[in-house]
Amino acid sequence: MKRIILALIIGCSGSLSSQESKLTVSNYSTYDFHGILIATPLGSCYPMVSISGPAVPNELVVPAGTVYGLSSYPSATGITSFLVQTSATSPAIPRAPSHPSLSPPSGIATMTDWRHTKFQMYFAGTSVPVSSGGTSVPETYFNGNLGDGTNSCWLGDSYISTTYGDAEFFKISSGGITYSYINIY
Amino acid sequence: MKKIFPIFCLFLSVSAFAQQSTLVINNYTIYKLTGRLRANHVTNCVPELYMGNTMASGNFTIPPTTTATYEKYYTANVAPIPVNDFLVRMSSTSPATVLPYNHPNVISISPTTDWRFYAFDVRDNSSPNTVYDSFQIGISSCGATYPTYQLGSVSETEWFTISSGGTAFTYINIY
Repeated sequence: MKRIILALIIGCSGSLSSQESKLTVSNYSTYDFHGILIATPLGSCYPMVSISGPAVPNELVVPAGTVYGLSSYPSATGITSFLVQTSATSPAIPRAPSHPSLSPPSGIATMTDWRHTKFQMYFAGTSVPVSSGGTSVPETYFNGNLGDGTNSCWLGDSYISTTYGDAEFFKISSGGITYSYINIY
Repeated sequence: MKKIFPIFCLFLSVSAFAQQSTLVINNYTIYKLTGRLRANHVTNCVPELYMGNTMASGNFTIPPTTTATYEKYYTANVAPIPVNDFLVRMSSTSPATVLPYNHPNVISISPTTDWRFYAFDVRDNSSPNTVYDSFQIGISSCGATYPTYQLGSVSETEWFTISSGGTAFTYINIY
């Protein structure tokens, strides 16, 4: 038992002190993914780094059949600014990916990780959400709250199944690097 | 087993709140910071401890583009920017006295106090009498209310905490 606890402590320390995971959003569906993505520390809501307005872009769009990769905040492609809120009493401020708070050894860069996405699927190439009747009425299918299971700020299943497809959010650690996967089928 | 792991991690994070956090001050600016920091009891005002404006350590100064890290009060002497003594008040009826970093009272208040307030000036590095910005920032306590974010004329500052891997961190960033 002592050994298990020790191993757990070492495991926790190791996994928690490692930096932001490499994110891959794989959209295998025939719909476009439109979502905001949220990174937080484990066990708390702040500091929060997100792809959401008023930062630019205000949502991540992954077109049907494409993959979006984001290996670190500073190297993010297609991101003009991240929305960074350091505490509940501080304002959320758009920060360029090159801002020093988003690069190691900054605590925001090393201790936050992607844990949640709020997303909706749209008919490919349009601004029309996928709805139950194929109309422009926003609907609940795929109007997803999807989490990696470690988020303490939002309730979000790590697996969503709808009549239009499935979505899942999971992490894999390999060779000291953690990968976050969001898959839409 | 899978469930035990995150619970245990959460437990470690929560338990870390009960101790003095590791202080990290990131001065990303080209300016020099001078000021003083206060730590106090996490629910009461006293004991309280000030860093800066004490005899042997002088003004607490952070050079441009420098990170200052302090794990505990009683290891501040070996920090990149060493601090050798603190102004400490143990109770509301006792006077504040300058104590060395390794004084038993400094060690004894470490588990029950934490960083709460930083009052500082943003000064020109080569002509330090030129003050560009003055900030008071921190976590509100002792009847006073301080912002956790402030925007000045040449700089901005923010105060926040992160708990990770069993260690709580207090961050003060100046951009």
